[in-house]
Amino acid sequence: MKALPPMTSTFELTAVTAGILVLVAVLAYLTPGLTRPDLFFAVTVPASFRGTPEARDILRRYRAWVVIHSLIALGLGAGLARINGLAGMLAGIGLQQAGWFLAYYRARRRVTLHATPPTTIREAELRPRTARLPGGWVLQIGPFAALLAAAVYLRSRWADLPERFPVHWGLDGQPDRWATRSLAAVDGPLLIGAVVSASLVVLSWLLLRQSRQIRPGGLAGLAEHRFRHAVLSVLLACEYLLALIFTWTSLVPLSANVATRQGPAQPGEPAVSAPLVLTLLFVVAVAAILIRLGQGGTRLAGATGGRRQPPGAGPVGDRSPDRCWKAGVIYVNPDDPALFVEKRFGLGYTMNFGRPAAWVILALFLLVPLALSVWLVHAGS
Amino acid sequence: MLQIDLGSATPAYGQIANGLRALLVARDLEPGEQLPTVRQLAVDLGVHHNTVAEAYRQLASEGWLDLKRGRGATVLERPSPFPGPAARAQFTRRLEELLAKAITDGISRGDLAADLRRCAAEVREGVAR
Repeated sequence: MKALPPMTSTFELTAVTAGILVLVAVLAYLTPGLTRPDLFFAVTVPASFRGTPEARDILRRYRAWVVIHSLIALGLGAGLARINGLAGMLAGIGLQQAGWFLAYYRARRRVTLHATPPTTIREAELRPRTARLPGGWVLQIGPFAALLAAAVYLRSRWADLPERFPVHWGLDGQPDRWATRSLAAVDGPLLIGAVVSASLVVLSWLLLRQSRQIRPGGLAGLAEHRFRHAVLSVLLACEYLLALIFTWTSLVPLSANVATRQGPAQPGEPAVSAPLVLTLLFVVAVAAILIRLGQGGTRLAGATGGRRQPPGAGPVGDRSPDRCWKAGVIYVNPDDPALFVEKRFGLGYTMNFGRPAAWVILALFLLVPLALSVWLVHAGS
Repeated sequence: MLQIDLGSATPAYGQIANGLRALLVARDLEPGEQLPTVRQLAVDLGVHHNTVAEAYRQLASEGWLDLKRGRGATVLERPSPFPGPAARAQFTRRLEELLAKAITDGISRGDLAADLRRCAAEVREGVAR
């Protein structure tokens, strides 16, 4: 696989690690307040429960755990990064994730005592849903056009490409894998980019067709529609970001000194921090947009008459049974034809793993890019 | 908007057919309108697609819907059939049973009378249309 050029500085890696940890800490801290009012730590409760002293205490303790674990993870990550940048990053992120899950699990266990049966009422709009992706097919084609343009450009500069160029670097900045100039080695990143972008298009289309609207009609329905549109737009933006990164990666061999250099990256040479920082900024922007909307658009002004759902108003729950949510995060319901459902703890959607199609999609999304990468490594080396 | 209760004793396909029929009779669904596909409505209601298909088939057999493969269901202009004496007798019997159950459940006779008056007004309005 053609990988990114070297990480030249431990400081950069530490900074990226710190950025990830801070972002995850903020999201973990805010998440309980972003979910639907009648879902607290993925348990169906009356909307009025959030205002009780018990709920406030559960939330306070959860947030304290998140903050403490994040600070410890930050210290550990920064400390280990001085010895080994990658180990510091993995240890910090791993510790924070474990701490977050533990905090969530403890809170959820307390909330379960106050659970209420979710509604058995189901509602549906009778207007056929428009199956149009954001921007239509014109914008959806954009990333593929960019990747194709890069392939054509590389073909026109074929003679300028070095006969042998590095495709993978260790954290010490030294190349540790090389490829000879061939179609697989040169166009490999573009092919992977195209496959991943195509996967995202399929995902968007399935999300549009195979997810249920929880509150059809009214202001809440409009807000939910806006939220779904925002998620689909994020997927589209993700396609463009990936196309940009893979295009950039495919052009790295054209860099004058990348083929001959033996030491760390030189000033002016493309560095791995550029796409990493770009990705981090993208994630921050996406998080900000989705936080503003709230899960299912519940934070939009006017979605529930300009305020959160009043106690006792409307059906309780997200029209899925509590017993089908494993640990509140994995949905397994063979009797539900929806392939995608709203997450109960977090922003966006998750798959219904009670349907075989979900496992097929998951396997394809993991295995196809992996198989392609392995093939390209062998073909290009 | 179609609403069903999965906790109800009435089968889901019956609730879907009843709900759609009420909207068709009230002309909330006009002839020529497209209904969601079987799969879409099944996803939205959280029921098996065979349940929705059964409800659509029932309404199609009554002349309310035209079902075409791949194109979903279209509302038809339905001429009123000649009401046989059995249909009228069945309606009267079911109405009386329903009223008896409602009184048993404690709904006041005044409330029932008000509901029946409202229904009667809607029926007259529908006939006028």
